[in-house]
Amino acid sequence: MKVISVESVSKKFILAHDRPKDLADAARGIFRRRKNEDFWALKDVSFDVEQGEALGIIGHNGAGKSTMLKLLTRIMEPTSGRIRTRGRVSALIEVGAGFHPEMTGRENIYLNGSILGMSHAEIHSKLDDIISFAELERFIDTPVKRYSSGMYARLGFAVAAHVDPEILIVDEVLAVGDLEFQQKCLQRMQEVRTSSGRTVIFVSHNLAAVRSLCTTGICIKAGSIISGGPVDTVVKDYLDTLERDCEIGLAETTERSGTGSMRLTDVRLLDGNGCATNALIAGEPTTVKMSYVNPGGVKRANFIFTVYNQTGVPVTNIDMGLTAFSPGPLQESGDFYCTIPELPLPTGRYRVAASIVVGGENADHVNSATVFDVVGSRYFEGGKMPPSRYCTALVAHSWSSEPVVAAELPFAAGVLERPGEHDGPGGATWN
Amino acid sequence: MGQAVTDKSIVGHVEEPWPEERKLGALKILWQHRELIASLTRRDIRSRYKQSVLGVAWALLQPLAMMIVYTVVFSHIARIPTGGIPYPVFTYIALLPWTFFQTGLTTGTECLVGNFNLITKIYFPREVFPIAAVLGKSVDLALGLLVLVPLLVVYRDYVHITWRVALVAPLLLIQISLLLGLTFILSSWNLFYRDIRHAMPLVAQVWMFMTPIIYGLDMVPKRFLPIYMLNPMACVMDSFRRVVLLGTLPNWSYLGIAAVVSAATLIVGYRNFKRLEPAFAETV
Repeated sequence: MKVISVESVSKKFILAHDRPKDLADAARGIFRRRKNEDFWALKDVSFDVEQGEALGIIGHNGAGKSTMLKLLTRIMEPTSGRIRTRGRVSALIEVGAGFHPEMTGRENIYLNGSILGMSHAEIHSKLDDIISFAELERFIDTPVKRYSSGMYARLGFAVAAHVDPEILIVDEVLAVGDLEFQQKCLQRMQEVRTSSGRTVIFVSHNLAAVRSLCTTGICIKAGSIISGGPVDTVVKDYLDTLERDCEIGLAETTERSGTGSMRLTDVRLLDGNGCATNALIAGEPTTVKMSYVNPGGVKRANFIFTVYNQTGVPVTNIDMGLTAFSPGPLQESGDFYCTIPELPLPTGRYRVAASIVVGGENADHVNSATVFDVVGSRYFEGGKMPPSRYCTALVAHSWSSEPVVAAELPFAAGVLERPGEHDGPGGATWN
Repeated sequence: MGQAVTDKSIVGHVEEPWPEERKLGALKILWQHRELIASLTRRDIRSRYKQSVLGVAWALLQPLAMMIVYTVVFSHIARIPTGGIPYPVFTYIALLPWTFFQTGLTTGTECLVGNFNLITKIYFPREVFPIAAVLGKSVDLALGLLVLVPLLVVYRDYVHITWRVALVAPLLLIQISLLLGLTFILSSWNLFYRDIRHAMPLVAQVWMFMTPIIYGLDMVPKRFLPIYMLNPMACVMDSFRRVVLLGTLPNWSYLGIAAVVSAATLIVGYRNFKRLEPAFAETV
């Protein structure tokens, strides 16, 4: 049975560059044309969701995921097209919506519960469960303004988790917070789905979470569905588009965010001989070259990149600011080289997201700066690799039959040739 | 409003999504959300007086203080004629519902802006906010009545309590319709133009002087009455005095006008609110 049917839905926003600021301005506006720009956040999107399905919605930032979510939850109405839903829809977009700081935990459970669509009788019957789920028995009659942020979030989530709708729509922002909290959230969603055949829609960046929770998926790009079907296919299609984005060239791509005071013009990989390549060998020295332009004459900036594997899991994050390397005043344009003495990645395809941070703010961030493959291995003698399902990164190690003092081991002391003086903890070096 | 065009090729046309719910009457939707309205009302009341030493006593203090001030100024200095009724009870019977009306308007105007975080996060019919705001203020009104009773006892020799006191109920109904209708309009406009927020206190002040609160209706020149009585609050305030203090009946023709104006305001306000509702979450 179809519980949600989205029929050629479009959503237009008016980017008002010239919005009336007050009534007087609005009155003047009658006599002149305003410079407004239409922005189609979603264009002719159609899909159906069957009962018991767990649908993941994935896509870039700004692709239209959040708009879709707001349409599905009725917070916004479509500009054209129609959405039909059957059954009670509950949206977990924010934890603790409507909490009043002066009211006690118990009072807020009733308030938040009714905001989320529960009846008082229902809340009353679940009250003890909610309190114990939140682990707040001792503080339940304390005003929530005295709660720590963790307690606040636990209470909010406990209420949300006990809403029992036919259709549950969850935004990934719900999964922020510590890892334990995320696990609890995902576990609860899994329970809701499997125990009662409820329908779940999950909007997320976290491809691993989408894969483990969802059966089907849709991928939205620039307001349109570019892929739909079994979740594994959709995740793969999404990663493919990220790779294709790399081919546009970093200097031109518009799939970026940040203040723009500096820009990445190129991120590429160099093998042990300094030749640019996208096919790398594990265990070989590898250099990541980051090129920038600095039109604003910024003096100091931090360069960071994250390597994601095929399932979208971040494998490592390499941050110049964590090392002792200090680049000196920046030029109008230039390059930085980050050298990894032994590439510790199993075979597979990887994506690099890169950013320049100036004064704590992203000056430029590109989600898919480059893509590379690890095609072979010299990490271990004999060129073998651990099975990929048990391994996302390789770790240098040695075996012996006697106890050893770790400080005397060769790689701890840096037996490998290291190109610079300033060593990062992972052996990555900037220069 | 509400015509269903099914041609999907017309880009930009807003079809009616969720037609199932659109068919429900306004009252049925409200009934479905009665517990939410109750929760929001309770939150409004609880939050208003928490962390204040006097707590709910503030709900009584405002009309009481105004009563004392007006009594001193308009009875002992300006000497406004009241037809033999002691000034404190003469003014309080109008001040109490007026204070409810005025504070209802000011808090009601803010009800959407104040809950904007909820509006962009969770869907439910937005009319619950103005309704909860007005209901929250009704509690203040009920508390104010607690002061009215001893006042009537003190001045029992000057007032004529009859069965007509029961007519307070329909009078309140007219007043609440007007208040709710205006709250629908003001709260939604205030979301788009914050000018409303600044204009409200001024408008309320002017409105108060155009309503027989500190003076009696018989002081208004006869030739102004046809225009003066278009203000539903004028008739309602005068009627409160008649049914509670004088034991007489309201002027039915004026009350009829007041009832029609109030009902029309409620209907127009509600429709205006529902028409703007889809845009609420998109205002930034």
